[in-house]
Amino acid sequence: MKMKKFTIKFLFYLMLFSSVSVFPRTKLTTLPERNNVRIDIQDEKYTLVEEERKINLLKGKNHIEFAWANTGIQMDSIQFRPANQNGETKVLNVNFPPEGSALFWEVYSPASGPESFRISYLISNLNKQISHEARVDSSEKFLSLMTYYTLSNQTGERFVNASLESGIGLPIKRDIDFNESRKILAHKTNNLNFEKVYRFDSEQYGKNVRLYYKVENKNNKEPKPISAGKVRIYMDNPSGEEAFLGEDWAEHTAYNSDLELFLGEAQEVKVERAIIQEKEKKVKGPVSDYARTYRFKIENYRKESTKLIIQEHLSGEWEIEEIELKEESGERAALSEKAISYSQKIKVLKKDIENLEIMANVPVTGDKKWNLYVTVNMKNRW
Amino acid sequence: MHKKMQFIVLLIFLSANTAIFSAIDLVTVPERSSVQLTIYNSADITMVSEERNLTFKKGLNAIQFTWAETLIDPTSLRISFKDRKGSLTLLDTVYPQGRAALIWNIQSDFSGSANIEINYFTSGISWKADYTAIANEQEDQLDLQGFIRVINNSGEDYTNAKVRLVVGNINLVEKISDLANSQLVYPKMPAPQKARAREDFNRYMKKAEDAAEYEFAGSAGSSTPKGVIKEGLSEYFIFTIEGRETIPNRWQKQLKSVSANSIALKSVFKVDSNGQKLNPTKIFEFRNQEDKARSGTIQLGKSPLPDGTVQIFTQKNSRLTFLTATKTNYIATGDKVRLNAGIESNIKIERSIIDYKRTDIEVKKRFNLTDYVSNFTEIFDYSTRIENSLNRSIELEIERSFPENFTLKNNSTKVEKIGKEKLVFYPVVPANSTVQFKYQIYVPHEIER
Repeated sequence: MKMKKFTIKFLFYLMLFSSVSVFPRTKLTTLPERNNVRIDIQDEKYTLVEEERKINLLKGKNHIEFAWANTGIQMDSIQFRPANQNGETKVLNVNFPPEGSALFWEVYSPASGPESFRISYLISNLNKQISHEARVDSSEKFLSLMTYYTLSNQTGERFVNASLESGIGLPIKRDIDFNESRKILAHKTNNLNFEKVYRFDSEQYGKNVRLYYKVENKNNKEPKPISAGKVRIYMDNPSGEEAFLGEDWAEHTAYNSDLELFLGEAQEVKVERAIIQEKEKKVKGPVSDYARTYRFKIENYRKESTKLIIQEHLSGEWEIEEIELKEESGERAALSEKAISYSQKIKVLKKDIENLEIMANVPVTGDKKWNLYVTVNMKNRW
Repeated sequence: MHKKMQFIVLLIFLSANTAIFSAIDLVTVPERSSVQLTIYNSADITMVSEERNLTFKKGLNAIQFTWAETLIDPTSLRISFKDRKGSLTLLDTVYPQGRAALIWNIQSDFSGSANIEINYFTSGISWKADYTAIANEQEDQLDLQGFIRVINNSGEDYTNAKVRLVVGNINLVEKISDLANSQLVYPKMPAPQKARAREDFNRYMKKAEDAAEYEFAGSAGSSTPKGVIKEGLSEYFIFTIEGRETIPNRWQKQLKSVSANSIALKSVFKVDSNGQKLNPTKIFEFRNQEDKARSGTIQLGKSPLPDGTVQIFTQKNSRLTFLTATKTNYIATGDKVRLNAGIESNIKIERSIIDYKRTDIEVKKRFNLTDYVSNFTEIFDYSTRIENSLNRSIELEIERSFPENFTLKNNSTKVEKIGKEKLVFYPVVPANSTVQFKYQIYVPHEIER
């Protein structure tokens, strides 16, 4: 690869002031290399570069110039400080010439000799994109999550042996050339627990049941949040082949909380929803209660029982009045229903005033379907 | 670098009896012997006072002052005599047509030199405050550095200038830049309004000039950053930069104005919208007050902090992490500083209304004997769940708006009412834990028939 010229120039002019404060001729002395560079990409929007340079100072006033033509350095963000902050070496002022992309500091040093300085600045066009690769075992019990970040360097600057701090894993040292992109594995977490959850929400998503992976971000080895970013989900088949299951955007998920990933529409779990009755009951004057009965026909053609969550959206004053679970068998003239106990199988709860949530553990559907009846009393309406 | 302003002395010798020009002689272009800039940041206005030493001839002296390509307000130019006051008289001021110039006709009773002062307003010089705030890892201590940046776009170089900065808002009826850019027709300009504004301004400036010079302890040589000396007057505050600065045209110069380390810092987390799922904003709080245990002239609490931009960082093992850049308002001495330090994604807040009821429903009859609901009360059960993934205890300020005539009931969290419609809850959440707090809001309704 062609070497790019350094565009951040760090010149320094040393100007020793005589006691009568006469400017001697400005002299360019050295161009010090960076000793250390770290790139902090923890923030979603901003990238911070912090570099350390050793500068040979003369006793008295020194004139140190910094220029950054054609790079994305944000001038107002530039910080310059002696690495050893014992207060003896002092930055006196900052001078900004009219051409922009350059400045010089006046630095006072009590003695001649080398001194390390830290220069930090925000730089644009060094972008970070986080992505994850989730891998599940064929039994769909455990998930390993690999978090990558892709750095793309359009800053006009080349960084050598830079310590990259993503806040996700440990700092990693890499070169990043100008115009280069690099995808870096930041962190890997093995054996996260997850479960498959099927959701039905006709108002929000229509008639189909949707499949989610509910991943517990709980791994006592490395308590870390999961960063927001795209997740691609793969499965390792016992045959050794790999299957792509789907992808979703992960929200930032704190440690000890759950991340839900939408994989796609489920074909083998079905829910059919209907409002089969709405009965008015006069309270007084124009005020009435309305008892509304929903019926959910639930079928599970998977090979095992399935956790299904049904969501209904309501408003105003309401309460759950009655829950009934029936097993349906036969068809047409032979159709019959038989009430069964639901307490072990179904939980219906008022999550908040807008959400009714039904959690069901649905057995494999044989010749009997489930019909779940939920009656909601919508009170004091006029 | 060339000067746009020219200063020419035309000496005009008049014979005693006849009003005939005997000679027009260009004598000197004297350099400024000193210059002082007083820069406002609330309006684009700077007062320049410069001293020059002029050689006068006995009789009438014509002194020409030109300001082409500068942003000087020509209506503001004044000349005054610093010495030999009784022997020099400004007879008149002439504005030649179509030129950025004027001529002062001065009668001198002597031949010799005298110091004069020229005052004018210019635009194009401004200053602003910048701050760097670095918090420690636990975010309970803060290092703050304040800077003042002087920006010269006036068209004129100012060398070895004494620089003073005025913090505070002044009233101006016209922009100096408009005055500077208008074709100068001075006689047409004065309006009573304008004159009043100038008078006001001059009065403030006079006060500023009269304010006692701050005694700068342990006067610094070149070894220390220049002090920014602060003094108050009326509603204004003047920062005087110690020593003299050279600021060429189109340059900016930044100087340290405040520096304080390990300031007691409090981080609070604020929510000020009614959203359901959100992350709070982190607020850094500290006071602009003196720390008696410390010494030094540029620590906090010595002066107000002018409004400006703050770059906020946290520091871990002496390495910086950028949090955000934010604007701060003017902070009076002793007042609390609240900096918006960005969104905290490690704290999650989920709010919901978990129950709702209508009670005390009263039914009345209209004139036509139909029923209507005349009164009822709504009861809302609110729940707020706070998940704190930080490994330290946090304090929050959670705002929420309600209908105007609400009543709060069954609340066990510290709360404050702000205005008719707003409550602020102050929950505390321990490290790495989740809390939920609940309360009820009653809203009575009365309906017109």
